[in-house]
Amino acid sequence: MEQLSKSQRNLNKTKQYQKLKKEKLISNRTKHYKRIRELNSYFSKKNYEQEVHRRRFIKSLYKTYKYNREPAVVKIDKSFGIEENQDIDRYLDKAAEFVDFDSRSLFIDIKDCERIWPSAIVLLVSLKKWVELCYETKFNNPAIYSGDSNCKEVNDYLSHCGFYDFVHRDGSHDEKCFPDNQIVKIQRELELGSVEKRHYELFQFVDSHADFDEDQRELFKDWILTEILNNVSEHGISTKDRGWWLIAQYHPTHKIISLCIADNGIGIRYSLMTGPQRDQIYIESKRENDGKFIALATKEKISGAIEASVSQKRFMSSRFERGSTRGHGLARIREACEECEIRWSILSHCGYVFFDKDGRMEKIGAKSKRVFAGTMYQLNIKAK
Amino acid sequence: MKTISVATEFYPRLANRDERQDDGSHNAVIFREKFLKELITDPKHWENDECFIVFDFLSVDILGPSFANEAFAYFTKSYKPEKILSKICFINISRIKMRTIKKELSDGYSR
Repeated sequence: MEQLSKSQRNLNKTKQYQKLKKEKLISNRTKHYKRIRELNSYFSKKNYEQEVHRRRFIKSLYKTYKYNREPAVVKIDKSFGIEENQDIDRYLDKAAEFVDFDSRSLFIDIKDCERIWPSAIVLLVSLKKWVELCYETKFNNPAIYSGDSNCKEVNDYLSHCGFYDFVHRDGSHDEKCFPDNQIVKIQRELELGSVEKRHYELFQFVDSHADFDEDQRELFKDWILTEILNNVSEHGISTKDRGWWLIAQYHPTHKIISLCIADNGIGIRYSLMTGPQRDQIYIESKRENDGKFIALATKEKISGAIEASVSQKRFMSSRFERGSTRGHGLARIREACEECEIRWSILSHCGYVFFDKDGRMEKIGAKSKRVFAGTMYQLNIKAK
Repeated sequence: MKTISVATEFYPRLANRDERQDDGSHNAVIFREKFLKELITDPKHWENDECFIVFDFLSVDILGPSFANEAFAYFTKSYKPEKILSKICFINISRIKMRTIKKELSDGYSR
């Protein structure tokens, strides 16, 4: 009996694998074109192709990174968060240092950190989740760790807000400094159907501390919370990850409630540029323009939703499905925040936009590296 | 002319536009199919200005702009806002929720 050499056996295995892969590819292609033939209208075909295009893009976005560089250290000192104006630039610079890290390990040095805000908590947990989504193999899973701060309040807060629970670390906090009724702890929602429960929980928490009149109260509940939660549950999910985050903290000294809702999605730029209305966008798709894309989404009626209207190209022009224009969820949020006098911001991958309480864009821009692994909505609501 | 109690006959939280938000339940597409299908399929209903249906918003907790857009502004594809408001009437509705509906009607159907 002829014995095959090891190289011959490997070659056979490779050929078999390639054959199976080709058959699967053909099978998927057949299914794809069969589905296209089943769809009747031009617009439903376009939406289906759009969905396929978006899925492929999401797969490539969560591609595996090689975490093989030398261990990195990031030092966080003083106050870390975007709740106060003077800390914003430092936060953005620091975040750009480590969100896109590619080291074997990352040590976050908070020894000299004097204050850590909810926006920083969300940044850290979303980074951890992003790394989990992207690691190549179990043996190539980079380590992210940190020590304690010299400031007791920082350590207490990390325990109190639920951060230590999330990263599976023991910790206790002083109940007198951080009462439980002043926080909605950091939570990650994975299940469909959780939005409604969280909507009411967040509204009740904010309502108990916020300085709103009746109309502002209703606008916050109906427009702001509804549209943000719709966005994270629709745009922030992918085939790999269906989760989104929230944390809310009442700061009696600063008289604000900091509310952060975030996802680990593909970001606003990619949502728009892989959406059916990308032909209507005339901003070049590159990292440096992430801020402009966010601003566009809040200013104009534009949608990255898969089901958004598509235009049918004609000889001299293109037309939308009759009567439809474009989406305006973020525009509604902006309008309602202005009326409720809420300072708020959106961070989405490399880009950021900050609005003052009169609805004006105070700051808009983008870093060369990501400042958030997904999209975060951060609101500073005036408290009683 | 029928009167629909939205909170009891549909849902008190009107937030999802379609099946893609959250778990997709109680969304505006289902609402429109359930209560406004005749207005979509039979153009004869639009020949006069009589109210076709009344929605009672008593106990409705939340009305999101996306829901209002999909449920009501959908008809701006063919009719003006004033005409739509003459056919679809609202009672026991707060100022803000009525403002939401009027805003979506004036801005038009958007997806």
